Amino acid sequence: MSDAAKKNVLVVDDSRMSRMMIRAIILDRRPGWNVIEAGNGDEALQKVAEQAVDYATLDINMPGMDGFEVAERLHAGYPNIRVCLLSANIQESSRLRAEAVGAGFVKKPITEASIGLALEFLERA
Amino acid sequence: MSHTVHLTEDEQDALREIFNVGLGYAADSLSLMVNDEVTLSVPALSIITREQATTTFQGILPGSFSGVLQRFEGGFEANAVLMFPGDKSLELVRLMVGDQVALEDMNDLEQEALTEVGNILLNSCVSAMSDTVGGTFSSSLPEYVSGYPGDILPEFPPEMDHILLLNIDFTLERRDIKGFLLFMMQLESIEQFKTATMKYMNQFL
Repeated sequence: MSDAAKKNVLVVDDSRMSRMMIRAIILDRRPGWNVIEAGNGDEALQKVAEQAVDYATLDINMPGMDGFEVAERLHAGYPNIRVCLLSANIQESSRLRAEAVGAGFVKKPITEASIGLALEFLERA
Repeated sequence: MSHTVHLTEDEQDALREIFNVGLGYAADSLSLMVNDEVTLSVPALSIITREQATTTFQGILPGSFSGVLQRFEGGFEANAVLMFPGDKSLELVRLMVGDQVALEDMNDLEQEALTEVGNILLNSCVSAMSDTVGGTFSSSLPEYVSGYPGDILPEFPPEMDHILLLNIDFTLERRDIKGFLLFMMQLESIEQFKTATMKYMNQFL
């Protein structure tokens, strides 16, 4: 895989099982990518400060900072990171908040199809 | 002799996540019905004994409540209860029917409307959970319940001596109406639900 094709993707979800599933599906579809995990918003912001991140998937309903706030902070501080919210919180208000910060929105549950849609959004130019 | 069930951290995580998926769909349904944003807490999971149930329920919702109880069976059996603090359920109904109903008719309507809200929310939740882990389910007719949280205990079958309790609270943002959703299973169903959940998760791991 060329260096240009290798991506660093940050997976943010308070559920360890969810992070494991997302990681597995991403690596199955994009072998060679580097998956970084964070269990909450603070950890996510720490990770992006420490290393280059190309893409991020964010859960919404987490203890502490919710996914919207993380998306907003990434949008402000790291505008080159493409962000996709991946959540069971599928209300219209959620979609609009995602749109406002240029983030994608894909609804859970985590499946091959839902992660496929997230990847489709993240890789869109 | 009763026995208990042990859930590992990963299994608890997985069950909370499936419940979270269900809640997301339920919150969306509620949001559409009342035209307000619904904020969800992070789900809490515990395994309690029947003896502990009353105290636990009172800790979740002190004071009186109105709500809806519904039983689900299929791949797993569960009792789900949607609860609102005593005075709030009427406010919720008023949100849904607006000015279309005269005040004197509102109390009669409250139970019926609340029961229908419960039916929609609880079915949305359980549908999403069941779709995620696989299998089908059937539901009882929703039942209006009111009183104090401990009062719902007699509604559960006597063999339900250990209860898996998944609960969240949710808030209608603009109106500051808070509600609670409790999802309860007994031991045998916990095992069935756990097995189905881990099967769903493990297909990707």
